[in-house]
Amino acid sequence: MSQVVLSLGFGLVTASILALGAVGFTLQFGVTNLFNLAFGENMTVAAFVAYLARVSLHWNMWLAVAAGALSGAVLSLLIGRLIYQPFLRRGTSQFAMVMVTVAVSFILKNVLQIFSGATFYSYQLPPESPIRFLGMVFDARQLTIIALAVVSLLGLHLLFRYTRIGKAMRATSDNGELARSVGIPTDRIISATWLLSGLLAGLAGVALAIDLGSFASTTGGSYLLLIVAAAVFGSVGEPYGAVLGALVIGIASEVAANYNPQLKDVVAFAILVLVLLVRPEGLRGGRVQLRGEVTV
Amino acid sequence: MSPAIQSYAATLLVYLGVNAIACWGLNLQFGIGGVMNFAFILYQAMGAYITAVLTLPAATTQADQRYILGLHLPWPLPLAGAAVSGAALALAVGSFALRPRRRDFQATVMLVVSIIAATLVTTEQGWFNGNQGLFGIPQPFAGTLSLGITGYDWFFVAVTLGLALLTLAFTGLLTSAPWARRLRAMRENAEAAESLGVHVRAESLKVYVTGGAIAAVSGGLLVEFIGAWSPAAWGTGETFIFFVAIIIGGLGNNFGAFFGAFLVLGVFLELPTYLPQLSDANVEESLQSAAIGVLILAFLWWRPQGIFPERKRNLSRAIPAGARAVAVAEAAGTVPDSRNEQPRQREPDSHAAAAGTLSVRDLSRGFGGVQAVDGLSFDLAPGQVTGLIGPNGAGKSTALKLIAGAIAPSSGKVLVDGVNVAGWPAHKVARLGVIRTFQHTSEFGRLTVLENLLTAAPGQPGDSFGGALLGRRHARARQQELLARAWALLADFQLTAAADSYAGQLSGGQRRLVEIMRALMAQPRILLLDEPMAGVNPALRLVIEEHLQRLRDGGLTMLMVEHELGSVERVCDSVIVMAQGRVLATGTMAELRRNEEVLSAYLAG
Amino acid sequence: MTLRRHRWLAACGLAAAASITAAGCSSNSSGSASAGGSTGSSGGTYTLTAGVLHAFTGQNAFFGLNAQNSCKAAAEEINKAGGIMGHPLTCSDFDTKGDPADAVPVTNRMLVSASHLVMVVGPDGSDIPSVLPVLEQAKVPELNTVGDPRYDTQTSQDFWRLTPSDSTQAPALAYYAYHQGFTKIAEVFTSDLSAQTTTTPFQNTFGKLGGTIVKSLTISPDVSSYQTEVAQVLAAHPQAIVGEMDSQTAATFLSEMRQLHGSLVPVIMTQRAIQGDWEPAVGPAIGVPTLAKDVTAIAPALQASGTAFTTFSSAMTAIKANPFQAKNPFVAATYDGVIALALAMDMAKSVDPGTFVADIPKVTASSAGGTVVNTYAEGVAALKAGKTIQYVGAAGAMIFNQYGTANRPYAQWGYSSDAHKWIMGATLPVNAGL
Repeated sequence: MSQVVLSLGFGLVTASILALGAVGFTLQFGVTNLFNLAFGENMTVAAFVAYLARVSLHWNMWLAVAAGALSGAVLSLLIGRLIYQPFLRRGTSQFAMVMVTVAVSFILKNVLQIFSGATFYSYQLPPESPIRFLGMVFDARQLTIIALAVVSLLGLHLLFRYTRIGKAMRATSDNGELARSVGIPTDRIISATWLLSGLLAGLAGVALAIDLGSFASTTGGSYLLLIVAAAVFGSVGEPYGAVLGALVIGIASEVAANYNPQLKDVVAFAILVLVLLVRPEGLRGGRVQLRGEVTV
Repeated sequence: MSPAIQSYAATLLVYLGVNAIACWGLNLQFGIGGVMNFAFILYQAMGAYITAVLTLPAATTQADQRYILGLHLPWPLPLAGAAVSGAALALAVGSFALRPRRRDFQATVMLVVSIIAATLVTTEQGWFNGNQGLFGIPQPFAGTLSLGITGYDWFFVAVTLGLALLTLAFTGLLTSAPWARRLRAMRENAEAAESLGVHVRAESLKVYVTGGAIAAVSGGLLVEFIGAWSPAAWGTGETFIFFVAIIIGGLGNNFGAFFGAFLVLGVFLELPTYLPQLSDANVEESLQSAAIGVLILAFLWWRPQGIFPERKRNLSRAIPAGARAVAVAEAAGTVPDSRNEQPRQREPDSHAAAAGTLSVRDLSRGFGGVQAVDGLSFDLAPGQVTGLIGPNGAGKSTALKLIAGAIAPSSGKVLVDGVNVAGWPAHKVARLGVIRTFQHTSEFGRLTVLENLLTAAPGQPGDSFGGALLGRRHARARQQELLARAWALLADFQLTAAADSYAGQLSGGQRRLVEIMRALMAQPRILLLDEPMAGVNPALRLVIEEHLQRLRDGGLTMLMVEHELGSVERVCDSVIVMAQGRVLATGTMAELRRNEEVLSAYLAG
Repeated sequence: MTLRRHRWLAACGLAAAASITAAGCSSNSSGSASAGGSTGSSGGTYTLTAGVLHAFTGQNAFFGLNAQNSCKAAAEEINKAGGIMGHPLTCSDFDTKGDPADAVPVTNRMLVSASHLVMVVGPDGSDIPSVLPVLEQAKVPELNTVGDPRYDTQTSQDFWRLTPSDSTQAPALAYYAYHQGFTKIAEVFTSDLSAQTTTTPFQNTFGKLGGTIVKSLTISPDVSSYQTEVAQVLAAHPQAIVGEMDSQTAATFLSEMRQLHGSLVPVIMTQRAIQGDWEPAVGPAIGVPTLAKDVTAIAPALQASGTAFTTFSSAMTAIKANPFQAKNPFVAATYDGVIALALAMDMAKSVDPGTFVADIPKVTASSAGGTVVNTYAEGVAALKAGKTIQYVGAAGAMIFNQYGTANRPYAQWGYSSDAHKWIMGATLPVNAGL
């Protein structure tokens, strides 16, 4: 039993990182209606920027995290404005757009590889003493990651609830045309969304790199699988659902590993398949109508 | 020519053949059917694996090859087994991956499946022998033919060529049948196709399964040539190389797919190895892959249809010139003079079957906290045009979608000729004769006008997978009939000149007409029109109104959502006013104009 | 519909074949065809080629880089001593990209384009099944360092494995662990490895020696977190952890163990740990001091001193190889292999692979009255004097068994944080644990 509680704790850490990524991904989808398969590479770039900040510029880890998150935001905005938007304006179809995002992920990953090679990098953080809490064990870094996730998600919630821009995001996410016809400056909202989701991608990327101990140019891309599973679980486009998805997947994988470590791989996948078979629109589906066309 | 060079040449040709077969499979799925199979490599790997397992003789000393069944099946049975396994896997994956309606969502799910499969293959020792894979796979007929090494290589090239031609013939058969037309329609606009009776999910699954089988055969062929199967040969990234090949070569065009296979898999990947190495091998490889990404973007921007675009199918040639002229003359003889009120010379439009009846009872549907449609109830008078008007947000479009089956109601009944179709999928409702037109024009852009029309006609032999296999002759008679009917419609609407033009290249008004004609080809009993006059110029509006009146005279029941009150007044026999998701009032326009509630609803909304 | 397309297909096919034929005929005169072709008596001092057939990209790239420099260092040595019967040796690289399907055309290309190909260094383990048949057809011998035990009973004349099979690895691991005093251990292997070569023989040997395995885990490689698994292992209180993990898995697993436990339990890894990509990933993740203190690897032994080793080291320096490679037993073994084959050619007085292959065991086996030589130059001189030689090189004696594998002894390797490389410690007895 104690092992299960222990793995629950580990699951919370995994879930926190996953939540940051999944919310970023799903937020982007909700507002721009785009499945951005380059999201993983966005995370990887942020991890590298944080590495440069920490190891080359010798900044402390906090600043490095901020640098990584900021770079994620900027990259996301640049790609959105300079690549995705022009394609969308041209009337590129939905499935051609997903090819565009794949092409972007190819380019990002390989450019990173040119500079980093196949080597693994690490922030070389010193070990810290474990903190025991309710039968779970964390170290200060992991608690920080969890706290970071909680604070970010709380901030998002407040943003959506109480700020004009947040409410506008929700409106655009629910019904883009209506939002436009009511005078919401969707262009600005979309740029804000790219920034925000890129910020989350950056945070998730750096947190993942810290948790893994070391990372390479392929790290973010492989994480995309989990992010998609979490987002689909909670219904794509629904940030709160994504958080739920992250919790379920994060905790389930760690607890399942107690019985058989190889189940870890499969849990996220099994959840994805189950959701698609039983309730393809996800847990909070019905709330958001998956629109036929991609908006700009 | 030395044996080494012959071996090299033979290898390249075999690889070209294998890749061409694979590309044709993907072309069927994606180029024709619009299904974005991001798990493509999985099927090739599956076919290769099954071929290996079925070909290997019983294990002797190698304990790790315990998954071998030892069947040592004679050629071509292992390839047949591969095809079956590819189809079965596609069926399993498609059953959940094709559930979402959006194709990019489907693609993402398939990508996830591909990644997970790659992981499982290397970790599930019992089945796949981990990273080591299978080896020592005997080549077909290797023992029995005494051709020498080089001779056998050329024999294999011949085998590959044979299989390639077979695949080409098979896919050619499928893509020239009416079934392919439905697939292309599905590719262009899945929602519209569904509304015309195409069961999109089922047809997607069929094309997915077929493509999966073809991919599996290509994998099996490759494995039979190199004699070994290893997970490392089937990385997730390989799928995208195939996509690049057919995007560059030409989507929807088999020659384009072949050319793409030649260009990308042959030239791009083989040629750089002859160039002097500029730097570190890793850097070169990354540059190459990044270049592929840039290439995809470039093509998607400047030439999304590829080097050899899909060929246009000019169906009007199949209609005898004489018949064409007759139809045009007939229609010309009865062009309406909008100034005089004389009744028409011709028969009322007989496109409709007997008038259908439609009743709606307590229909409701909400989104989030908002009730779009809230306890809607009305009856449509059969054989009449009923208008559905109301302020913005009243739920009119939603009501149409609920009736047509595009959205499922949360409660209530929709009775079509007495049958409750509430909750039925759109294609099933369409088969009952309820056809819907769309607010935003929904023509099938890369299909010609004639093809647009033909897609809608139900019950064509050859419009199913099985029917397609029976060949074109089987479908010819009915196709001729339909072409004649379609041509008559075009003549009626004076669009015969555009018969072989891509529908997406017509003007807005013309596209609207195509949509209406298409709906009529489906022989509806009940026609649901969602703002047919939107964005249409006044002259064309009158033309459409005139056609609607003739249809009504012919006995077609129609429900028309419209904001153009002038049209409503002219065309509709009675009008329903909706507000806040339910019926506010019914009557003629004149009556409603005097209704206080109606007026205030319009002012408020 | 299809007739036009058929014509296109046929036309392209013919065009392709015609152009390749033309290419072949025109380039034939430059002597590019090599397989089974040229013999030692052809006129002129042409250059011999050793083809380095490996993945130079992707995750196994470090194997390729090792092979590349092994070959170059050996060629350097050989050419300094006058080449092989006067012919210089050069190494040509051919990238298989780590894809067994791609490897076949690359091998074909090598056979067509490499002039006077006498040997192949490589390929990687995953490519051997598809490549070996092609090489056998061309009768070119290949030198490899793969561990896969399926080759323990292989019969091809052209397959020469320079380092021990994995089937000897696990028993050696068990032997070492037990004799270090670790009688209660936890074994952790990743699931992509064959149980036949890891878990099963390890458990058998360790049990026979009298040790207890308190926890046995198979983990999925490259997952983002192993905390639950680590907790399970620690809960069993092992004295040491024995196993094999790739670099990314080890980095995550061991750093999480360090976090959870405060420090590492002694870790004994297989030879996977001394490969080029392992330490760069794991070192920063757990800290180099920890790596030096707590991690040991069991890998094939290397001659730490003596003429053979100094010659090898200076050759590696001369070609500007990564200093880490100069201490890698696999690099040394490959270097030895190339030299041994060169000596075989000298002994057979022929550069025709079909002829000299039979002499490879003759220059490496020990025999009564035979002269032990440690460098290529020594070997050539001894052969000229008509003596029977045994080449014992930088990686020690290389005695091939009847299946073409040289089963060498293992040694314990530890990481030195000052020297930034793996240093060999004590050698284990031959066939330890078996």
